[in-house]
Amino acid sequence: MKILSSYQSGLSSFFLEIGEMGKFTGRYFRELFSRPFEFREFLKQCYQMGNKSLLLVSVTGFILGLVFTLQSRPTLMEFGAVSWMPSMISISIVREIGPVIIALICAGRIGSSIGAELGSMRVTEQIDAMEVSGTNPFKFLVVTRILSATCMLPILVIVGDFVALIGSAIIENIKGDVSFTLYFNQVFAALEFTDLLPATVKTFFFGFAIGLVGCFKGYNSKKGTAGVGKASNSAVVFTSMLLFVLDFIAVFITDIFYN
Amino acid sequence: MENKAVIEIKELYKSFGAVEVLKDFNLNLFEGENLVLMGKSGSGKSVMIKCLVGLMDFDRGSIKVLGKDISKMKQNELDEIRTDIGFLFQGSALYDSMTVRENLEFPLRRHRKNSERKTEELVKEALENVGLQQTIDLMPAELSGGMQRRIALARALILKPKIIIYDEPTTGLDPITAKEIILLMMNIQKKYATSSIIITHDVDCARVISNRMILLLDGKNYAEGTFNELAASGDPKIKAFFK
Repeated sequence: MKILSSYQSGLSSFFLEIGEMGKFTGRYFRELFSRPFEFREFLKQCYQMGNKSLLLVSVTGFILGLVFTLQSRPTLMEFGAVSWMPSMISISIVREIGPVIIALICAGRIGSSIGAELGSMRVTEQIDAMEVSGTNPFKFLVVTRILSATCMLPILVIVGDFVALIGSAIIENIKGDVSFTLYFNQVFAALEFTDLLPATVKTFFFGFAIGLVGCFKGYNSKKGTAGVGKASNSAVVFTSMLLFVLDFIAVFITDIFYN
Repeated sequence: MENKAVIEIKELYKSFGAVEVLKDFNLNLFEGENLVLMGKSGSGKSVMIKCLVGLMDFDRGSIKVLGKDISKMKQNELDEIRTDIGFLFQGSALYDSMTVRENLEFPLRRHRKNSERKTEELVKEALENVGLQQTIDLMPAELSGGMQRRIALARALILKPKIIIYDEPTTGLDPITAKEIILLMMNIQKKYATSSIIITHDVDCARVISNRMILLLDGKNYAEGTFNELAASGDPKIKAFFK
């Protein structure tokens, strides 16, 4: 009985949180289109999220390309299909693996940092200080961060995908004696508009989810410094889960439209 | 001293669930006055100031700031009136991702259409007032607790507010730094003729700075008067505050 009631209360608090997040999202869209626009802060956040995540995304993408090619090579050789390597790698990376892996990396890097930053601002009364100075903290802190994450993630994914393909091309060059020109010719021949468009569109939603959850958890953080850690941690966990759900929805919709 | 009231709080009620934090609380702050509010922890002081600056809604009663009822204000009107109120937080609440300069520029850039030169001048003047010109390019984390409190005071003053609210300005500071902060508050009051509400547990601070005091007990005004009147009271509940 006790277990049942704990599940019930867990479930009800989960749905309450979803409801709160819905209200938070509604407020974001209302504030997004109202003046004043915090353009300077938006650019600053774009720099923080974009430029400072670039190295991490590039290294991850590069290793992803290397490992994926190394792992796939023996199987393709067994079937005599090694010449399909550039096509297979590029489609897999651009359509699915690149966006999902890089979004997960960014959920860790960007989502947790937003959660921790806003959480610590909340518990040290910096958000209250902003409000009593006559500045709307939601607009200044939340709107700019969500918008920056939404705009920066597609760019990071494009960079990550490209670096992953370079990693793959290096392995193919070393192991298969395939020139870079030939490799990339095959990549571009294999990729179609229907691969690029849905993959890019979904990264906007991934970026929005990362910014939204990080801001929601941080902005509503409570219970002192422990609350800051919890906000940061739950931002990453919740975003990661949400990314897979969004990915499933995106693939499902793409399937309806293109197949 | 009895000038016109800049803050009028009448019959203020605020509860959290079944717990009534403020019950029929009343307060008048007059122009140029330093009003000290003392009360035990949990007596509703912080809730009262949060209601006063619109950070928290209240259940019943009215709050007028500079003659305007804040419960009837739209968000932009509330933001406007907030520029007339400086707020010194207990923990300073400096924006820790910004330098001292950026902390001070923050309210200026939002509420005053000044040139870059004028903004720079005002920032320097505010820092001069608190004697910390050399910290202009430092981050808050590089400053001591007392220095952070003084910078927070400079930030609270930068828009030249008519009213300043101090939330436990000397808490957590050593006695020497606490005295410096009290002197600074007095100088500021003289220089800018501000009206202040000071929430404190520090009897020395109350003695030096107050023109009038209100003792808050269980969410109600328990006693009101000058420091000397209250300190001389025979009521054991009032005496307890001055021990």
